[in-house]
This record gives sequence, structure tokens and C-alpha cells, in this order.
Amino acid sequence: MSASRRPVSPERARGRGLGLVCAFGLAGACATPAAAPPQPLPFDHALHATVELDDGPLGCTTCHAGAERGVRAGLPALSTCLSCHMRPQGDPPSSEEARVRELAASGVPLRWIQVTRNPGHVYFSHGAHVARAGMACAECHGEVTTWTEPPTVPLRHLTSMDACLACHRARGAPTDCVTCHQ
Amino acid sequence: MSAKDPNRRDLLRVLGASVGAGVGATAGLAASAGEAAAAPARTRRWGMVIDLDRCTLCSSCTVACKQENNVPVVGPDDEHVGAQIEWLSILWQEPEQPGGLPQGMPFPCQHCADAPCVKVCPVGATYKNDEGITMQIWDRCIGCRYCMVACPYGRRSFNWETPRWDGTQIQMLNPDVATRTGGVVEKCTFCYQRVRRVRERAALEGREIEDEEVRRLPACAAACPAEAIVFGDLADPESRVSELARDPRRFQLLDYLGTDPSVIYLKRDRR
Ligand code: HEC
Ligand code: HEC
Ligand code: HEC
Ligand code: HEC
Ligand code: HEC
Repeated sequence: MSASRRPVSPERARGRGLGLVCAFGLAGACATPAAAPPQPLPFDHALHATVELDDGPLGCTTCHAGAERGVRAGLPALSTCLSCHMRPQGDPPSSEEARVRELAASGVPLRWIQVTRNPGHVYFSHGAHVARAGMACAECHGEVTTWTEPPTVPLRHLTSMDACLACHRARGAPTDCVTCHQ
Repeated sequence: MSAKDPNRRDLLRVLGASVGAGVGATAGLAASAGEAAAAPARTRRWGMVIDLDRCTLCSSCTVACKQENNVPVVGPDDEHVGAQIEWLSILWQEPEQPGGLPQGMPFPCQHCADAPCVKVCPVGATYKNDEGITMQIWDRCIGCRYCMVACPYGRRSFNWETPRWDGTQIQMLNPDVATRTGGVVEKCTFCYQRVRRVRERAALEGREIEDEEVRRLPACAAACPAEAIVFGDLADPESRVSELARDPRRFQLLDYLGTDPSVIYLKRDRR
């Protein structure tokens, strides 16, 4: 566990992100390193995936309440984090961990930055895919449980009309324009 | 080309060589054809009945429509005359006798079964969807305004400039409807975002859409204090809207054109 716990070094993270950006031919992005969006708190999916609650492992919908049946998955409120982090967690608790309480004490509202995001004219519904079509999160988002830090580059296959359509055609899902446009 | 097949390569081919190199990049992304037929359970035809004997011309519907659909309000200056964006407005008419009560009717897009606007759109931005709604995909629109010329009802508006939403107005925008930019034609969608919400809820609960949950679904129908506007499936003979559409007071606007509108008016003949 200790290996995945340590955040990837900034250089490595940047390198990884850059490879992707360059692969999509954005010349400008290759010249200047893409800065990781400044998330308000550190967050490690891999670490939290190992957290056991009384009734099993910590599920995705604890923090992404709408991911199964809603339209938007949603990102967690500070109160969700505090339900565990009111008391120091970890043995010993790290200085990173203490930042959750520091933010709460400062009264600054928590605003996560969503990295993979479609333009406003696109309508996407998690409920249609997860609850109705029975798809797993990993089918679209990849192995989130191995992420040790927030993503820095959007997933192109989730923000591309052609990728949406390729699967919709293959599975007989609707292809009417208003299915996905608003 | 079928407007329903969202193959952008085809859509773009229509534009021809004039668009040139810029097209290549986008077209290259287009997925190959080979549509798996998505069979709808039943063919629906969404429609609306507006009972003019109930309507008091209070205009609540027009305000509700603007709020629901982020319809911009353009300025009062002379340069804006004729540039108003109207999805639903009141069509005012002369009083029956001089000095009589004002006459008029709420006037949304008529969602014609045989829609002239769809026939002229060179890029497939406007089309009839499977459920009889005349849709407009804002981002696909190139602003040629052929549709505005073709529409016999004048129910399409052009954004001469990109609307500005200042300060708290931004917080009042409906997140379920994208705002449109300058150079784009816009129109009534029968509040498709609300239809979609009901459809998703029904599908999650594994049932069909009930007539009761859609009767007052569009913002205009929900706002009408006289319950003069009823929405529903015209293809379902049991629905409230079909029942009203069989009323002998019925008429369709400019019915002699053969556009077969999905908006049906009711009015007692007072002559
Ligand atoms: C179900 C309880 C639970 C919730 C909810 C929770 N955490 Fe944790 N978190 C833990 C535990 C347990 C640890 C310590 C794990 C360890 O060190 O083995 C931890 C560790 C951390 C750490 C330290 C990581 C490190 O590398 O030392 C941070 C930062 C953190 N959490 C942030 C958050 C944020 C932000 C939220 C809200 C989005 C959140 N947590 C929600 C249980 C939780
Ligand atoms: C069919 C592919 C697909 C599946 C399956 C899927 N997602 Fe998503 N997810 C997306 C897309 C596309 C977006 C971007 C949505 C947008 O910008 O509107 C997204 C966005 C998100 C976000 C960002 C925040 C938000 O509110 O949108 C989270 C968190 C998320 N998904 C979690 C999940 C979880 C958890 C699951 C499994 C229960 C899941 N997703 C299943 C495609 C998928
Ligand atoms: C303890 C709370 C918590 C749990 C449990 C959790 N997440 Fe997250 N998730 C977050 C936070 C906080 C963010 C925003 C910061 C980040 O991107 O890491 C996030 C971001 C994401 C994103 C990226 C959205 C974007 O910006 O593009 C995806 C996808 C996602 N989560 C999927 C999942 C999946 C799948 C699971 C279950 C395996 C899961 N999450 C479990 C808190 C959680
Ligand atoms: C890996 C396959 C896959 C991908 C990728 C995918 N979808 Fe879907 N989608 C489906 C399936 C299957 C359904 C049908 C769900 C059902 O009705 O059971 C569906 C249904 C939908 C629906 C609901 C349609 C309705 O019934 O009204 C919407 C909206 C939608 N998808 C949007 C999107 C968008 C936008 C994207 C791209 C960001 C996307 N989907 C990517 C498989 C996919
Ligand atoms: C399965 C979902 C889906 C369907 C069906 C769909 N789109 Fe899209 N569309 C998207 C997504 C996701 C994007 C955003 C991708 C991006 O920004 O590049 C998009 C972007 C667009 C754009 C923005 C320009 C561009 O190329 O980036 C236009 C125009 C467009 N779609 C038109 C249409 C038309 C016209 C139809 C019907 C013939 C249609 N779409 C059907 C998902 C869909």
C-alpha cells in the first residue's frame, strides 16, 4: 500500500500529461508544460479505495452521489470528507491529511475542479449508463482506484462526439442529436 | 443524407469544398456508418392543445418560456427592433368590435409534421426527431437563416449578437439549456429538457411515461393559471391532448399549407 500512497512526483505527472497532450497534436501545449489544475485539497483515490467501513469498502457513490442514478456524478462536499476527517486519520496522520480540517476551519468554500468536462451544449447522464445499461465506472473512466492524485488532463474519449457515437452505434443506444445535445 | 444519422462526414460533405481544409480535421474524427437500429418502443408525437376560450392573454406563458429556456432579452433601442428572440409570444389581433376586448393567442413553434424549415436547412441543424419535435442543434447552426424564410409562422429568431448575461443574471440561467451565441437561429423545443427528464425517470423506474406527468410539462403549460395549455402524445388516442384535439372547436394555423402543426388551437366561433 505504501507505494501507491506517495504522490507521483510533479515531474513525472507533468511528463505523463504532456505525452497525451502532444499525442493530440496541440503544439502550443507541448511547448509550455500544462499546469495541473490547482485542486483545493490533495486527494488520493487509491488510498481511499482501501478504506474499509463497517459495511464494506468505501464506495464511489459516498462521494459521487449521482454517479449511479443521477445525471451528474457530482464531486463531494467538505462535510463528506469531514465525516471521517473530523478526527485525524492514518497512522500517523500526515500533514496533507490535516489540510482537510485546516480548510474547514478557514471557512473557505470547497470547490473541486472537474477536469473531464463536456461543453455546456452536451447532455450526458450517468443514470442512463450505470443504472440502466449496467456499465462499470472503469469502462469509461479507467482504473480510478489506481489514481494517487487528481487527473491533470481531460479524457479525450469522454469529450468526443465520435467516441460517444461509436459506442452508441455498437450497442444500439439512441443516436438522435437531442439525446446528447441541449 | 438523413438528418437523423449523426455522421458528421455526411453533414460536412453537404457544405462542399467551400469549407476546405478546416473540415478535414473534424471529418477525420467521424465514426464509420453502420447504424444499429435503435427501435423505439412506440412512435410518439408530442403535441399541444391551446384552448383560446380559457386563455385570458395574461402572458404568464411567455415569461415562463423565457426563464426556462434562457431566451435573451434584447435592448429597447431602435437597432433591436425586429431582432427580438421569441420562442413563445402572444400573437395580437384586432378586437372583434372597435373598442372591444383585446384578442390574441399564445404562439409557440407549431412543430409541423411536414416542417418547411427542416427541408431547407443545408447542414441538418434542424430536423424532426423520432417523437415529432422540430429540433434545433445550436452548435450545428451556421446562421444562414433559410429556415426563417421558410417558416410560414415566423417562429424562429436569429441572434444578431451574442447575448450578455451580467451579474446575478448568470445565476438565473437554467443549466439544462445551453445558451446560444451570436449567428445562431433558435426556437421553441417543447421544453425538450423537461421531456428528457421525465423519460429518464420513467426508464430508471422501468415504466412508460404517464400522461398525467406530461400534461403540464412545458414551462408555458406549467405557468398557465387557466390551464389553457395541455401537452402530451398526439399518437396516443387515450391521452388528454388527443381527447382535446378531437374537440369540434379545433383549428390549426394556416392549415391550408399542409404543414400539419402539432399545436392545435380551440376556439368557439363567436360570429
Ligand atoms: C470513509 C472515511 C473517509 C472519507 C469520507 C474521506 N477520507 Fe480521507 N482518509 C481516510 C483515511 C482512513 C485516511 C488514512 C489512510 C491511511 O493513511 O492509511 C485518509 C487519508 C487522507 C489524506 C492523506 C493522504 C496521504 O497521502 O497521507 C488526505 C489528504 C485525505 N484523506 C483527504 C480526503 C478528502 C479531501 C476527502 C473528501 C473528498 C476525504 N479524504 C474523505 C478516510 C476518509
Ligand atoms: C458511459 C461512460 C461513463 C460511465 C460508465 C461513467 N461515467 Fe463518469 N463521466 C462520464 C462523462 C462523459 C463525464 C463528463 C460529464 C460532463 O462533463 O458532463 C463524467 C464525469 C464524471 C465525474 C465528474 C463530476 C461530474 O459530476 O460529472 C465523476 C466524479 C464521475 N464521472 C464518476 C463516475 C463514477 C463514480 C462512475 C461509476 C458509478 C461513472 N462516472 C461512470 C462518463 C462515464
Ligand atoms: C472519499 C471520496 C471519494 C471516493 C470514495 C471516490 N472519489 Fe472520485 N473524486 C473525489 C474527489 C475529491 C475528486 C476531485 C479531485 C480529484 O480529481 O481527485 C474526485 C474525482 C473523480 C473523477 C475525476 C473527475 C474529473 O475531474 O475529471 C472521477 C472519474 C472519479 N472521481 C471517479 C471515482 C470512482 C470511479 C470512484 C470509485 C471507485 C471514486 N471516484 C471514489 C472523491 C472521491
Ligand atoms: C461504452 C459505451 C457508451 C459510451 C462511451 C457512451 N454511451 Fe451513452 N449510452 C450507452 C448505452 C448502452 C445507452 C443505452 C442505455 C439504455 O437505454 O439502457 C446509452 C444511453 C445514453 C443516453 C440516454 C439516452 C436515452 O435513453 O434517452 C444519453 C443521454 C447518452 N447515452 C449520452 C452519451 C454521451 C454524451 C456520451 C459521450 C460523452 C456517451 N453517451 C457515451 C453506451 C455508451
Ligand atoms: C451520443 C451522443 C451524441 C450524439 C447522438 C450527437 N452528439 Fe454532437 N456532440 C457530442 C459531444 C460529447 C460533443 C462535444 C465534443 C467536442 O466538444 O468536441 C458534441 C459536439 C457537437 C458539435 C460541436 C462541434 C464540434 O465538432 O466539436 C456539433 C455541431 C454537434 N455535436 C452536432 C451534432 C448533430 C447535428 C447531431 C445529430 C445529427 C449530434 N451532434 C449528435 C455528443 C453527441
